[in-house]
Amino acid sequence: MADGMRARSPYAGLPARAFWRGGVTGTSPFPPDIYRPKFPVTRDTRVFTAGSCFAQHVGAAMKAAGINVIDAEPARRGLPPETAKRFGYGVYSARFGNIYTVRQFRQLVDEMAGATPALPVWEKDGRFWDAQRPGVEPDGLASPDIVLEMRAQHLAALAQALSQADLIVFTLGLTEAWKHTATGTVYPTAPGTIAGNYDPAIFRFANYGVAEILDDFSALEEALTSLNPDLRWLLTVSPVPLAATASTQHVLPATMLSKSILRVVCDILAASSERIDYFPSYELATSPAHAASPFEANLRSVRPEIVAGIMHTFLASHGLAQDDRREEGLPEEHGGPGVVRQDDAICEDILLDAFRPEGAP
Amino acid sequence: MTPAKIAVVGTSNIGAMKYAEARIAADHPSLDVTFYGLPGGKFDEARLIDGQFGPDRADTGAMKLARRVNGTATIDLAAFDHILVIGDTLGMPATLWTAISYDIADWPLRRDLPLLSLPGFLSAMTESIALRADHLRAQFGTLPLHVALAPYPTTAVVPPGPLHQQPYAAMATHPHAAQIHTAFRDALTAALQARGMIFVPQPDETIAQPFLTREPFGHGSLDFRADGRLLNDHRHMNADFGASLFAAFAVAIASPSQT
Repeated sequence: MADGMRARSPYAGLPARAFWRGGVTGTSPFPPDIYRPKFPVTRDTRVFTAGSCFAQHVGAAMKAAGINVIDAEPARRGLPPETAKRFGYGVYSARFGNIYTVRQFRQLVDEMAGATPALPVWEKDGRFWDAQRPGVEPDGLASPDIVLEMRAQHLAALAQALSQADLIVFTLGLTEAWKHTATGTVYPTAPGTIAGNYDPAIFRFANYGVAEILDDFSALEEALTSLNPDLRWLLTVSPVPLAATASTQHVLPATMLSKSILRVVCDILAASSERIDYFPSYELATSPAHAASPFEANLRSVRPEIVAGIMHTFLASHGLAQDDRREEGLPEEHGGPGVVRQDDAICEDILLDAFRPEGAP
Repeated sequence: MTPAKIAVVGTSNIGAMKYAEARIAADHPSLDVTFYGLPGGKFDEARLIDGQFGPDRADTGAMKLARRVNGTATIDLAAFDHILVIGDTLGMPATLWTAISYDIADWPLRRDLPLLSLPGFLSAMTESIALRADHLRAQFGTLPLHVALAPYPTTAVVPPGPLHQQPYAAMATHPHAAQIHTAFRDALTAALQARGMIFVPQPDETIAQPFLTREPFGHGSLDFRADGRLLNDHRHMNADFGASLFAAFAVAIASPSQT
């Protein structure tokens, strides 16, 4: 090739973020230009948070940054913080507990509009649990009637929260769920985990694929648009691996499949609408750029400094970080305000761990 | 027989007992009682250092006040056979605020308030008590203690007006006040016991209804810092109350009145 002449390439002239070297290698594990918001989030944005247990970090960090995170069932005067958290107050925008699947969220909104889930009350040792949010009453309730009364009040609060929201921040966590065979009702926990009892004649395993999740999301979005036409969405995928799979696969490929499906769903949805954005929490957590494992010793809980880095990246991209260190990147040991340790997050799925074979590490 | 040495330590609420000193001496000649008090905020910062209990040593104002009121800035609590601590509310206001902020789902009362499950309410009570009981334990190291709550305000705080005081006033009409009272006392007794402390409940003869003292005990209450300065705020109690509470304490240490 003659001096002064270079071969033309479609990659020539692309920014550093387009190249692994410079985009991942040799830069911060939290590259500031990884996310370009489609729409602004300000402190006045009324944010509704929901999702799998990783979403608790998102809500906490947003609150700490002064964003107007909706809390339709707040801890009222006198209720101390540990009890409030243990009973699901202030964890999400209402006391619905973790929403692991899009189907579960869709079903919740359908219920708000009058649908009735199958087997809404689960029993254990004479106490009764709301099958759709068993984690918010760790000791159960005294009677099925109380479960239903509290649920009716919860649904009213939920409707109010959703009608007020400007933005739903939804962290997609799982594709696997347990459903009521006859009706299709899904549950956030497997029957028999917190309460209820697994009967294969009544319940069956479901593992949702891309098409089913897109259908569920479309139905969910449509239902919510009728309630709140200006609603926007910010989707993320939880980096927390599956605690267990019922898919017959090894849990590692089952996790990868689940996260991949959710990631594809997010991409399709974000590409389909200016009202839907995607923030790469999953990628930021699992990036090979981290000097050490982003996970705690259990290889499942995301280390708090990683969560802090993820949330700092999000907030900084909206000009809401409390101190802007985008150029420097965050030190890996950094924790931050509003960061909930993964161990402190309320995750019912870890209860599945109790069912692992004896002798397993 | 050498009289048992008793230290009554606490907030401004020790005033009721301090002004009953002569009656206590007459009723309990086998007990030699010493009083040591600090205003609530200063008491909250007080702790045991090298056996001496006293306010924040860097707070010269508090140290001076302690010396003026008690004749000593700090007190050597190891020199006493029994210690009665009076004055913390030990999670009671938070418990009552919770009770009036929610309808407890397991109870029939409905006021169109958010529902809170009974386990949630009891957990809130336990946590609120634990927070204060841990603080109290930390203030006094490993010393064995008897503990009395700050007195319930009198029924004079129930009607609207200058003495009105929530959340106690709401308990006057709360249909489940008795259940809350029993649950709170049980939880407090257990929490203190778990931390090496013995609860001395407010005597029944002084209680008008759950969480409210009979009004006469609020008349003639005096400022513990200054002889003769009348309070009558119905949050602090008079010497009759002090004598009654001391009698309950004396029973608790197996040294009942000899009159």
